[in-house]
Amino acid sequence: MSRLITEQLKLSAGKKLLIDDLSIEFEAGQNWAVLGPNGSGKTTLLHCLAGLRQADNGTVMLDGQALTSIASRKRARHIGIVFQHYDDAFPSNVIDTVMAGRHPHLNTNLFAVETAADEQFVQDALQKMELDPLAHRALNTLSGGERRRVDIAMLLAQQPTVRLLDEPCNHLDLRHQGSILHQLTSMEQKQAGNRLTNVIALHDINQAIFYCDHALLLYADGRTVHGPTEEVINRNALEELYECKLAEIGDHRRKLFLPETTQ
Amino acid sequence: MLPARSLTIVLIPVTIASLMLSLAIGSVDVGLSDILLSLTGANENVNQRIITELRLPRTLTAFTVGALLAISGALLQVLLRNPLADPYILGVSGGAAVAALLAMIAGLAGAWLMGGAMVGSLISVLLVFGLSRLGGGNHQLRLLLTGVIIAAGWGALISLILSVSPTRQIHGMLFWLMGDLSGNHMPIAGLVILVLGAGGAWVFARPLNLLARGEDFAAALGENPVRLRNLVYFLASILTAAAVTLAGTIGFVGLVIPHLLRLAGTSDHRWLLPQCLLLGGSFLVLADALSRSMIAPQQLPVGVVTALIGVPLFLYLLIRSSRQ
Repeated sequence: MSRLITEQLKLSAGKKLLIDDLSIEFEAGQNWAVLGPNGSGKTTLLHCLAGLRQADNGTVMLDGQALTSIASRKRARHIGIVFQHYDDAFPSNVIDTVMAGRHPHLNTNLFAVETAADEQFVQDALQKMELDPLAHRALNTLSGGERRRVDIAMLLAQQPTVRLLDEPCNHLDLRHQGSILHQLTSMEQKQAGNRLTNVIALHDINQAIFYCDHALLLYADGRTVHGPTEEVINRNALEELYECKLAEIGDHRRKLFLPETTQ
Repeated sequence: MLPARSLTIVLIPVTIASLMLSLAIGSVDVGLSDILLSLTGANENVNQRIITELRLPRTLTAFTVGALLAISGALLQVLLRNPLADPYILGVSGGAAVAALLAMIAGLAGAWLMGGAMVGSLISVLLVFGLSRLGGGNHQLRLLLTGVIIAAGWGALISLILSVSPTRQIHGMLFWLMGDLSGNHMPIAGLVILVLGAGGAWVFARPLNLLARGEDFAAALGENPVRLRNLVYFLASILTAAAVTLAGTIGFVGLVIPHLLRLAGTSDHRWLLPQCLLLGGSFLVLADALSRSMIAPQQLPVGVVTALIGVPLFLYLLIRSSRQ
């Protein structure tokens, strides 16, 4: 189950209209970037797609079934989300946190414990995020970037086919920003036979162009534009989206957008 | 740091030893063999009556109350996502205390007093739950603020009642407020609530692990946080109400025991809840044994003893854990 579609979706926060009438199809094998200025509704949209939030209007469907009619445990086996921010009230360590991702797959029998298979998924996830040496470290001793890799490792251990990521590159150093987006959008897509759907809220336009094949632009007034990256991302659209002047550099092989310096 | 499983296994002999010690010491010291003979009914001297009619009910009451409070504290800390939450933070004990003090003024005692305390605490539970649902926003914060404010209201009522009560009743009232384990009935109902409540909480131990990390976190992994939150609230409230009904408001156990176990490295509630039961119970048993033997034949309020032991112990663990 990896085809997520929305029909006439409307979302608002308080009285502010965020997204008006969005009908979009996130198909298996596609890597979507969600772009938009602060407060344009990227996080709200991801929460709604994850089934954590009711839409003001319209529906979200997973493989033809309304998300609200799917049992939450079953939904969590198919849709996973990396939140923008995690707030740890109680102490825990890396491996237990990543293991939490296995929760929707665990046997509901009261005395059931995590199986060897669960532990294997956790080990693989730790390895992919280069966290194996930190497996038993307490969360509060990690750096911001290490903590972020724990969040993503938890999503990998959860093994959903629809993966929603809210600014996954926050706090990551340059090498990890690239390697993790490559891992998510390319290596794992190949491993899974192009059956994964990635929807990634990003602030870096150039990462969106480089790693994603589709883009959804959320304008501040509730309008949305979506389609293949090369069709919807151009200088005019981005300047209107972010309400600032951009410079375009590079050639036909790779384009880069940079903000114009202002006085 | 001990793994959670080993720590739990260590706590079992600790619990048994504290129960034995509590049966052994007091106005007459009784040897271990005498205790065992008395418990099995093979002993027929005066010690047998001391053990089975006085010390056993008291020891079991202390154990039950300590275990109820520690489990309730652990649950409320998760519910409010606040390590400073204790079983009384949402006003359950205040409601019970007001009702109990009013019952004392009316001249009621024994089962009537306990019934009054139970009713008072349940009224407070429903009041806080109902008021916190009015309006929207952050549920945890609303529940916490509503509970704290209602608790403050009960506190003022308690002061009012104390200030207008006749002098001869005030000593009894103060003892009840500080926690009183001197009733000599077997805590059958309390034990039943403890077993059912602890079992019921343990069933949800795994979802509680997720709830401790946040409501959205739990929801994203397939749990229903609203249902879970309501369940935890009522479960913790009933456990607290039972403890307050049995022994008044004994401070410190519900705050310190779960936190101490978390500092010792237990984060999985499948282990934390049984550990709270064992350590909370034996901690209060030992505190009670001390409270009635330190300046015997006089008795100290057990709440004073729990704080006298708990404060330095907690500070020691806090300092040690921050050095690591």
